[in-house]
Amino acid sequence: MEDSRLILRFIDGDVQAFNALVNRWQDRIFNFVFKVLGKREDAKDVTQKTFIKVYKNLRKLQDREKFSAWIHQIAMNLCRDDMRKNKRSPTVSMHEKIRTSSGEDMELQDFLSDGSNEMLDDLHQGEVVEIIRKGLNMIPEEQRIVIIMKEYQGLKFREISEILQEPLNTVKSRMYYGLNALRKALAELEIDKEVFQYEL
Amino acid sequence: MNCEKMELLFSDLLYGEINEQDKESALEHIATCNSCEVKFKNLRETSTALGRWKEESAEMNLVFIEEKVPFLERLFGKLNSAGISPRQIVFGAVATLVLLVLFAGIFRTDAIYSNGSWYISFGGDAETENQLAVSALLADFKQSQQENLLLMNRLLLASEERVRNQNIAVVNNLANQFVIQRRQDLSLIGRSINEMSQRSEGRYVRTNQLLDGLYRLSAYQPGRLNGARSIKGN
Repeated sequence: MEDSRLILRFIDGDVQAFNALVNRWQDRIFNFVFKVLGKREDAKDVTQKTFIKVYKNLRKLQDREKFSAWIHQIAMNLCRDDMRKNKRSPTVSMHEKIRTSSGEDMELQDFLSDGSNEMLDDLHQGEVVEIIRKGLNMIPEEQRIVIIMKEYQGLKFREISEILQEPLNTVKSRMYYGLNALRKALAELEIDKEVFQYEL
Repeated sequence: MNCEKMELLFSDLLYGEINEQDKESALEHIATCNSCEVKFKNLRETSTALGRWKEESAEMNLVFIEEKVPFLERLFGKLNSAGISPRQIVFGAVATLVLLVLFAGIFRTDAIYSNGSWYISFGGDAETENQLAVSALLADFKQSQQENLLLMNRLLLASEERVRNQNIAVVNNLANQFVIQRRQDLSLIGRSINEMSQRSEGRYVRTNQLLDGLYRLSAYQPGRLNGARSIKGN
């Protein structure tokens, strides 16, 4: 059943329709929030808050076809609130601890300079995620959010523009400069292209 | 197509959000411009790298339970879903209120609340107004009457009890007086009888004395009169 029909049923008082909507969207919203905040527990908390807010305000949504953009907007605003509240820095320190595939904690700088990591094809998925997460945290928030919305949420530029309430060209520009900034950030982290098994 | 314009199209081209004409021009430019070719290649590589961060499960189980939604909230939700914005709803409500006020003013609508009921009249018609006033008065009168009856009933009950108590007291008083009087009478009768008895005794004694005198004066022997004297009670 389409989102718009589920929303209509919820407005008519069917809570199960809302639960179906939650079931459909919770992983997607969690992943968005997790990529923006970078912390799993915080992401769970914000995801929960997002759905509570959706539950309270869904009746006010005028265009049901824009549910995707609307829920992302709510999640994004809550992420910003959370970042403000926790005063989280978007930058990453080379002394930050990461957990390696062998389960030991080591500083990012040491991890990257460790000769054992030259076997890049064997890089653990968790380590790749750590590196991308840190790379994303090293670029400006406005560019990071556009990249996450586009790369991971699959939103159209037009939708991102509506969510952020920014002109379309600004969004595209942030995407372009954001990807370039991310590339530089990954270069700073001394990650070369093999890390990600580029396929051109 | 130049490099400056190409920068605006990179994102569109990368994510396929570009029309055929622009796509053709962009690809033509990339094929001939080494700088733009490298830029685009770098963008694709970075985008592909990002793709290695796969979607994860939230490992959450959010379940919402049914709660009673206030009537107004449901109404607003339904109107909203029907494409009527909250501003339109408020405007509609204000307009309705204004129309009602105007209607009341033009047709002289009166609404009277009396004894738990609303009486509404239109047009300010004197007869209707009078009827309404009479109805209201009758209702008031009826209510007062009922209240009065209840009050009278309570008064009667109270007064009956008081009169009964008074009568009992009077009867008791009379009975007491009667007893006293009776005692006095009996006492008086007793005294009278005693006096009469005493007087009779005195007379009897004198009579005997007289008779004795007579006897003595007569020639008769006193012993012959013993039988008569024994009758007296010796």
